[in-house]
Parts: sequence; structure tokens; C-alpha cells
Amino acid sequence: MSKYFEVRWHGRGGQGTVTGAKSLAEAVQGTGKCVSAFPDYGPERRGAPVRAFNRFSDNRIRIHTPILAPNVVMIVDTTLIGTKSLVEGVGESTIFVVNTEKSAAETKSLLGLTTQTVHTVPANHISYRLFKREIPNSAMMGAFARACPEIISLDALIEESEKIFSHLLAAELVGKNVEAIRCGYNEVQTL
Amino acid sequence: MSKFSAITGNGAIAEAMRQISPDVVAAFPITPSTQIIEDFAKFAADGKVDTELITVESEHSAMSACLGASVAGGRVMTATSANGLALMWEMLYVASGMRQPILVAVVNRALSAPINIHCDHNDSMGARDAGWIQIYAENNQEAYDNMLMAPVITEHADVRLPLMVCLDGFIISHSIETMQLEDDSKVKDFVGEHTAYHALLDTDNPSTWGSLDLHDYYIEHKKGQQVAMENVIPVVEEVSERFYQEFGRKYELFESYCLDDAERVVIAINSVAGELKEVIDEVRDAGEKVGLLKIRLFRPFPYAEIAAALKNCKIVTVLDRSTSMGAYGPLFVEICSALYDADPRPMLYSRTFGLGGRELLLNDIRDLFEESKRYLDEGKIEKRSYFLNVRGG
Repeated sequence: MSKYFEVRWHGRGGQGTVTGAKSLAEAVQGTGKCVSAFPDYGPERRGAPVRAFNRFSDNRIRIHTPILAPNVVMIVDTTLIGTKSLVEGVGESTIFVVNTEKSAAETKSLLGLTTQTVHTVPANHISYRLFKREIPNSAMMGAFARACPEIISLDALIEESEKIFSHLLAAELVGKNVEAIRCGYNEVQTL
Repeated sequence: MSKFSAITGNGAIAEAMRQISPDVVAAFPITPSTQIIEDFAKFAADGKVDTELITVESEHSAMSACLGASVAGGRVMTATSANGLALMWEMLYVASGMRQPILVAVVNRALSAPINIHCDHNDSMGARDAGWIQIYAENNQEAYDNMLMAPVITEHADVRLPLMVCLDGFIISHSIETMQLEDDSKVKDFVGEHTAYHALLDTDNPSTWGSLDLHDYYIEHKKGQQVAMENVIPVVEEVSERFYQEFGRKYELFESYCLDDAERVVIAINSVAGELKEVIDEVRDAGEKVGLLKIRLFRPFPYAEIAAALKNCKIVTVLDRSTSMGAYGPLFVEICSALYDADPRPMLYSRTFGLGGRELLLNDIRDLFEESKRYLDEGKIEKRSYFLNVRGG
């Protein structure tokens, strides 16, 4: 179904994957698109696999069903690689954005992908550098902007994120998150 | 100025409550409606509303406190789900019997047991005989809009009945969607000031509430409630029209989607209507005359209006997201009643789906339309009623 651009996030409970999908939706919303963001709620346990979803469209989004054939798969936690759900419903042109320090070639092979484009980003590494802890969302969003400029450009992502974060965070942290977005964008490797 | 926002269904309800700024909110949070009260508690703590927020120890107490505050003369609201609504049961009937215009946002969730936090409509459907107006919403925007219209409907002098605004748990309550939030001052103007009616705190004009009422007058008071319910239909039409004039979004007693010339119609409530519309567009593109009637007002039930809207259709599939064990689903029963006098009467059957959050995917809906086509072609209904997407079904 080409009228919706669909993104599926995979992470683990406690990593902020659901928040990542929500933040991305808010940022894309700011550019004038219609958006949706919703999690796949199961028992809420730290460390358990979590999925979250985004739809983006120029028109109103009417459907709420889980995303079965994603345009983009965002993998926040690489320890999930090897689980079937990551590649479920994936097509020849599905784009992968993976939080890893491994090379794009190695990641692609680990995921068992062939025709698909894989973007790797060391989002945890970026996060430790900037925040001294593991909060990979902002770097993942930066990598998303690199992978899908037709949905949101880096400049628009930074502008919208500054607005959103400034309601929630101190000025210093807003700046660091913007830096994380920029690093995420710049440190992408693509294959 | 109104603005587009990406916000959850719960967040949208909380925004409406902030804008209305009721006198009293008494609540005991329960999944999936919790965020409504969390957000509202923050508004109260930050001084963004003038509301007295009463944090009680159970939903029975929440509804009791709402009732007391309403009788005292306040505009009163709460939010709940599933087992929380069930625990309010006794007081739901007291609220409607005492004609108190209390508002409850019901975030629809399955009732225990087995314990389940996901969406179905057994909670609010179970309360359909409690004398409350029930308005259902497909998405965040409708939930918000219904919440803004709700005080105007309930406090209307011809009505004065409590009202539930119902939305789907998780599917809507926890989903961020693009929607339009209206300007605070425009909302305040639309909703208007609350006028107390024989307030208990008006000590210059003392009144008695909740008195004993045996076989001498009880049935007259029940008749009064019934008349008030009947009055709701024109009031909802009038308030919805005023809402349209003010904010530009049109609402009727129910929504007709591709209905005028439809031969095959699905009738449904809440978020599944979005998926149905999506598939209807596809099936229409293939040249088939299919349509949707989406319920908005379930109590009172607009029998005559719905029968008139279905007069051209040949076959009707009713989707119930709740059950009455040992009987047909609540929506199916109402549609049967609405169509009894129709001549010609369309073919009619029932499908139960989505209990405890079981998904109904677009392909399932495509299958539904295939099935109604086959039934219509064959001129007979093979199965009157069954559960969709169920093991052993």
C-alpha cells in the first residue's frame, strides 16, 4: 500500500523505542505531513522485545493496524538480530537502519538481506560520547533522516526536534540531542 | 488559533478537559485511560485549570465523589476503563436516576477474566442500560470533538443526563495521530458556563436529592428519564451543527460513508471504521457498491434514522466488538430492531471481532466483503453469527 510510508521499530523494553517512534512522528508532523505512532503493547518488561510503528502520509491516516510490510525497519537493539520478526513482511526495497558498530556489509549478511539497503549507525557509541549512557533515539532519528530524506530532511529534523525537546529538556540537553541527531546523520554507513 | 498536533487519544481527552476546566474531577486511574488523569493532574498541579482534583481510593468512590460534586452544583468529569467502569456500576444508575450531567471518558477495554488490558467494548456496552448517553469515536480527533460537545449536550435543559465519551483502548488512547486542537478561548465560548440546577449548596433555595421513591412515583421518574433520553437526539443534532459552524468538522447521529447507493453495508463502532473505509475505497474502485454506517450515538439509539439510511441496501453485516453471552451482540440486536419494519428488509447477519484486542486486518475486512457478496449472490445467509479470527472458529 503505497499511500502510507510505513516504519517499524524493533528494540527492547527500557530503551525508549516507543519514545523514538513518537519523537519521530512529532518531528515529521512539524513539517506538515500527517503522522501516526503507536506501540505494540504486550506485557511491559524491561529487556523484552518491543515493536513500535510509524505511518507518514500527505493525507489523513485512517488505519491503525500493525505494520506488516514496512518501508523502513529501524533496529535499535542488535541483540535482536536473528529473531524472525525483524525481517517479517520485508520486501526487496525495504530500507534497514541499524544501531551497530559493525560494518554495513557484516550487518547485511547477519540479517540475511540481499537486495535491501542497509544503513548502519553507531547510535549507542554516539550516545555514550554525548550523554555517558545509552539513549540511542536521537542518533537513530538522525540516521533515519539520512536514509529517508523524502520524509524529513536533516535541517527540518533538527528544527522540529529543538522545538519538541525545548518543552521537555534543559537547554544543554537540547543542544546535546541536536548534536546526537547530527552525529547519527553523519556517521551512517550505507550498503 | 487552532493547530495541528501529533497527540495520543488520551492526551486529546486531557486537552479537552483542560480547556473545559470543570469544577471537579474525581478519579482513580486504570489502564488504558491512566494518561488522561496523569495529564490532567499535571494541569491541576501547574494551575492550568481551576479544577478541584479529588484522588479517591476506587472507581466506586470516584463516581460517588462526582455525583456529590455534581449535585452540589459543579461541572464534573472523570475517566475510566473496563473493571474501573464495572466498579462504578451502582453509582452509574444513581447518577442517571438523579439526572446529573456527569461526563466520563471511557477508554474501552476488555473486562476480566481472563485478565486483559486491550480493547473491546464489553465495558461500555455492559453499561448501555444504565441511563447514560453514549457517544463513540473513531479516532483522536473525534474523541476530542465529542468531549467538547459533551457538556453542551448533557447540561441542556431538555436532557440533564450523564454521558460517556467512548474511545478504543490502546488503538486510539495510546496512538499518536495528527489532529486539530482548537483554541482555548473558542472552546470556552462553545462550551459555555455551567449553570447549576437546584444545587445542594444553594442554601437559600433548599432542595432534596436522592430521596425514597416507591411505587407511588418511581415509574414516573423513570418515564422522565426515558423522555430525557428521547430528547437527546435533536440536542445532539443541534450541538453537532453548532460545532460544525464553529470548528468546521461535521458530525451527525451516525456517519454515512459511501452509504447512499450501497448494496452491501457494514455497521461498526469506533476505530475499526478507519480500516473499513480504507477497504471500502478499494472495493468501490473495483466497481462494487459497498458502504459503511458508523455508529456515533449508541444511547439513545437512533432507530428511525438508521432504518432510513439503510433503505436502499440489500445486505447488512453488523460488527460487534462485544458479546452478550448466549445472545447476539448488542449492536446487532439494535440493528435488527431498527430494521424490523423495513420493507423490503435487507439480509442481516452478525460478526463478533476484536475481543481483548484481537486484530482485524485489512485482509480480514476484504474477506468480509467477499462473504457479503457471496451471501447476496446466493440469496442466503450461511452463518447468522460467529466470531472472526478465532481459533477453532
